[in-house]
Amino acid sequence: MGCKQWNDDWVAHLYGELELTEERRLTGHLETCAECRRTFEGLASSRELLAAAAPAVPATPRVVVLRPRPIWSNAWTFAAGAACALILFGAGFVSGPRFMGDGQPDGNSTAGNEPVRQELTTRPAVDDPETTRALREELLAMQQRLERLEETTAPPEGMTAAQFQEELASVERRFNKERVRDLEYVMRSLTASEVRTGTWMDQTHEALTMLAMWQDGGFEER
Amino acid sequence: MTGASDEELVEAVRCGDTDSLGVLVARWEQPLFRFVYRMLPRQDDARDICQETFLRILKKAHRFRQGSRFSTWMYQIALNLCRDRARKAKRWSLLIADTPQLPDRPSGPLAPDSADPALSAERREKTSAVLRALNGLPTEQREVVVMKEYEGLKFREIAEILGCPESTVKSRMYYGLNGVRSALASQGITEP
Repeated sequence: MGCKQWNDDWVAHLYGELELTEERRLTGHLETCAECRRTFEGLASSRELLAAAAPAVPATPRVVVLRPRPIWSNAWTFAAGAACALILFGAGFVSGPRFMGDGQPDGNSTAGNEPVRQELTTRPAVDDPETTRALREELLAMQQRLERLEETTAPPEGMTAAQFQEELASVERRFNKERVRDLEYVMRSLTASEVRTGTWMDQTHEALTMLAMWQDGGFEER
Repeated sequence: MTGASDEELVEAVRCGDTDSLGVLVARWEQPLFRFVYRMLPRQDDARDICQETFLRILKKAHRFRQGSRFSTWMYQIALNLCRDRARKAKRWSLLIADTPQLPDRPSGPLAPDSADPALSAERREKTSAVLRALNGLPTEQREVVVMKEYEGLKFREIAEILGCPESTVKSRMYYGLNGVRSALASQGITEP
């Protein structure tokens, strides 16, 4: 074929994508070159057949877009829970020695309030200052880690989204575990003080029990 | 949000607004399915690839380049998925050759609109031959022919999707059309 340089232009002409000046040049050439005319007619014929044979497309199935679960709502929820736990832990830490002491009533205690059950007044291991300090540091470290995670909207470098989610869930699990342990300690302290003073704080006790059982947005039977 | 451009919607998706993805899906699910189905004519495959395409758009919205066209990006993703699927299954040509999808719509140039069964059968045979000829083209030519003829994309857009010069696209189109013609001529459907 002597007019190969036109090849690209034939298809552009066929689909009406040539500039006006190019269009005129090509049309002029077609009028004078029988070979090119035949080539162009062949292309046009193929196009016509293809258009006529356009495969039928079945009805478009619906694309379902699942809304991803907002991870921050969870994070904030358990962060709030953790904050409550810390407050309660602090309260328990302060009130524990007041109510329990070393088995001796303090100066503000009512005289005659002897421990009813000695075992309840035994200071739990968690009340040890060293253990408490370590626990508090661990909680603070986890809280800081959580805050760092919350500041990140995308997974950190070298971590896939799934790993990131797993990491977050792992921190949450550990946090919850610590929180439950702290609440149990507070409850034990409360029970001890109730027994010592003979005053029952039913509602407070129940609320704390519910809080201790609270897991991941719901209550679980333990 | 429905009045926003595709590119604005992608930006919103990037910022975590999944409702914007819903708007994009509503806007593009039909053209995308049509495109994918013509590339990989199995309904199940086409549906899966459409889902996967939108999922990737959701996951990789942060990689959408400013100034790019959303449709080009979307077609690129879908085309890559089609190629992967075909390559993995190694059934690209087999599928198409074995299960030509004949038009069965009630209207159209070659639809069986005639009461004459012989004429109708002849038309269906011709359609089948054209589709076989199309499916027999090298993949790169077939992709261009489908995008141009059936999707009505501009040569410039096809070049962007394929990441090659516009002249290459036109050249593939030229050889693709000639290839269809030669194949039909060899079957005696058209004159050589």
